[in-house]
Amino acid sequence: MFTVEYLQVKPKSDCIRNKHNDGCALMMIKDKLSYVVIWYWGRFVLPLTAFFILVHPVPAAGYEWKASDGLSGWHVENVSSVQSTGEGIRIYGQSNATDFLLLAPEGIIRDASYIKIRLRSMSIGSYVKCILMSRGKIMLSHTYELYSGRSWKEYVFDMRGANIREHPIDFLAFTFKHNENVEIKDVTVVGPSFSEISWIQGLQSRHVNLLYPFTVFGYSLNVVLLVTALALGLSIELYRRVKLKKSSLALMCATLLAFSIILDVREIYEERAIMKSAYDDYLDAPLLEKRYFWQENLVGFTDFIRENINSGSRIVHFFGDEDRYEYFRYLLYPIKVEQGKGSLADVNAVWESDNTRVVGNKIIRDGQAVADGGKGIAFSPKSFLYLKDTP
Amino acid sequence: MSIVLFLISILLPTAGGYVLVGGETALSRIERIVYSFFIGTGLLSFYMFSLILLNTPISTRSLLPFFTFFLVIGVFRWRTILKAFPLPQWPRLLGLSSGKKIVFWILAVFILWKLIFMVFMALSGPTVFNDAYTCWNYKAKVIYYTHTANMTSEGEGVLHERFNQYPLHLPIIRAWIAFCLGHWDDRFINLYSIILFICLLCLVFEFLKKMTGALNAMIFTYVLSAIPVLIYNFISGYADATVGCFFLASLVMLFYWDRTEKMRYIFFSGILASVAMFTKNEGAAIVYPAILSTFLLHLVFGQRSWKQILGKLGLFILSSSLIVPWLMRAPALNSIVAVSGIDNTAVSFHPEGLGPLMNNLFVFRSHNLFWSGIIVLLVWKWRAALRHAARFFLMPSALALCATLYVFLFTLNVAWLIDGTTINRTLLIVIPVLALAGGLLFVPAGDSVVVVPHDRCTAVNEAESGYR
Repeated sequence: MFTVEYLQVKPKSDCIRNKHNDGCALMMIKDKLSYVVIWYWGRFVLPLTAFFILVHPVPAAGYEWKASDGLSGWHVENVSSVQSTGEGIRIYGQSNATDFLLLAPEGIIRDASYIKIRLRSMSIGSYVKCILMSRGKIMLSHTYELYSGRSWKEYVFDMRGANIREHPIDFLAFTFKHNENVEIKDVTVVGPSFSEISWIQGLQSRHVNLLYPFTVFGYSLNVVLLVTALALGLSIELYRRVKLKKSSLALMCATLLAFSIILDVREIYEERAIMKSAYDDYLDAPLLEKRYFWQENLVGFTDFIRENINSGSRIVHFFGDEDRYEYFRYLLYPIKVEQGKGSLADVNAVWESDNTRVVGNKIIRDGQAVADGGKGIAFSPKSFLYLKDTP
Repeated sequence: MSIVLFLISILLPTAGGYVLVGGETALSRIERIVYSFFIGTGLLSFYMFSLILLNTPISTRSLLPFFTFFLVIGVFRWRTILKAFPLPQWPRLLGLSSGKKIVFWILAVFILWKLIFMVFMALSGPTVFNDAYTCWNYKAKVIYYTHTANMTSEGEGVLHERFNQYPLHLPIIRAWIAFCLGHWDDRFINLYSIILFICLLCLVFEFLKKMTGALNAMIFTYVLSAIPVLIYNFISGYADATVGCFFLASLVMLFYWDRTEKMRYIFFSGILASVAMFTKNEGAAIVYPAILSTFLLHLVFGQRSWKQILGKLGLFILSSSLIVPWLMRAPALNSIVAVSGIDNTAVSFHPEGLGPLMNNLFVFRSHNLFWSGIIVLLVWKWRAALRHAARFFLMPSALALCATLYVFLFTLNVAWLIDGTTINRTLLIVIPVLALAGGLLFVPAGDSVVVVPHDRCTAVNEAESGYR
């Protein structure tokens, strides 16, 4: 530690000029330490940081398709039309089909660990499924529920479970279920390579735009950095024994801090994506296109209900799944919300789910009509305000 | 207009707390404001809870006695408070070389980004996280609209059918903000959590700056702010990180008592411990035993007479007894027992939880490199860990950590560890204290740091900075 007395009489510049001055001994140790820290950061930490942050690794055994270049050999099934949008292509499903397909050109994809698709869709309650096929059989498939909204969203499918050595991939397909249309920006296939660690796992999560509160995946970068930090720690300890005693902990802490910052930069990348998603999908979106993360347009639906019911209405029956019910109840409070069962209240809200649908003038729940003859007002293709007929 | 009303809702209880804490010159100016906020909001929530218990509707009229009480105390203490009133002061980076200053400001920019992100998320839209809209904010909304709380599970104005055992500090304070706003606005309600986060960072920074210097303080403040799960917990409006704030605040107050022997720090510490218990049941099951045992240990080994020990212990228990009315409710007690796993007949070691635990701590990026870093630091600086300052915070955090791991590894709660949800949240209770303890490992050898009145600190620092 510097002493006040010392600092009073010896400015730093003097010390540098007169290295043999006994009074500067303490400062020289500090200088040497600073030199080592700067050397160490300059030669090792900063290049490594730059590598992780700036270098965009080219997939070693990968493939990339940018939809803005056109279909380029990709083909579609159960589709009514395909339009170019400038940023990508928009695929419209046939009205009578529940799903439509996008198939990669045969033989292009030989090796896949991760398959990333970037797309956007305004459909609610829709899914994308990624399938790897070999000799006419499905080797591996994964499904994600799509988050609707105007911003691009990435879905990364972990296909490491596919046994590629014994069953070479014939082709890759995406199926889109319950989608009216979907706009695709690009598809990236990444084979096993170092880039997996640094980019796919480390710098992209499974859903970049998913605000995932408890456990954020993308673990390999942590492991890589931790192992590197520990290995460096041992090297530094060795260096300390040989050269400079005081530098050991400083270098170790500098390493940990640098790696912590690398991970934080990765996190900031995600936070930026979350903010952009909130802005594009909710704040900046027109009223009917507002989507709020995984709650889709439920916020808008409750506003719609408030506007369309009498001020005297005190109870709303909600027909939909449990999760939506809790959120709906929260948003609509102090208007009382009860879970709709058999009977109808004056005001009923319907959020279509796997077991709840509106067909014509009927609310169908688990295959049974629970309401018939009321007046349904659609807020969106999947959400309705259903008012009981009053005598 | 809403932002002004929101600020009023924050400043009013803070002013109440400042009447109590404002004269404490051992605390820095920022610490005094942070503690005023913690204690003011804490006492306000207990007061509003007492109104609920007395079936008195919460209104301006019923809240008036609370603020009148502090106004009266303020009138009697105005000289002391004004003397120590915080004046705006640009932070001086005492004794830092230009290289260190650059590191300092880079880290400050990272922290600033986190704050921008959190404020943006709070203000961008309504509550979206499950526990917030099913429990914390829902209860707050019910309190706001009904002006009271029916804590049974049936009848008119039921607070909640399923979460009656969850304490009410957060719902009450959020309802208070809505009272001040005059309407329910999720954006400002959630902004309260961001204020708590800022207070936490200020507390860690100010305390470490005093003990180890500005750069070290900034590094550990940054380390805390770079833990993703902590950020998301505050954004989501959950209660776990808030318990962590009060745990830390209570311990820091105890530390000040240990250094100054002033009884009022025990009093403040007790209040903060009771607020931690009133925030989430983990406060009573994990936090309070850790604080109490730390306090007892320092009491008994502090060469004090039995009379002194009993007096100080009595004061601590008395000040933390604000929680008693809440604890007397059967659902609350049952829930604490459930959290602790005491009633769990199937207490046994669950080795299947070890793998997920390692993943959560070291592999997933939920905690950044926090746990690895702390372990490395403790191994590297084990001698410093035995010194008084670090030990003071390491011991309770170790106790709380052991209690947490016991709950997750030795009871059926292991399910919440394996699915990686509750474990991450619960660890947030310990993380702030552990981060502070990590920073204290850099207290110079000899542990010669003495808490001196802040004015003297400032004078010494100003004198030193003049030489640089």
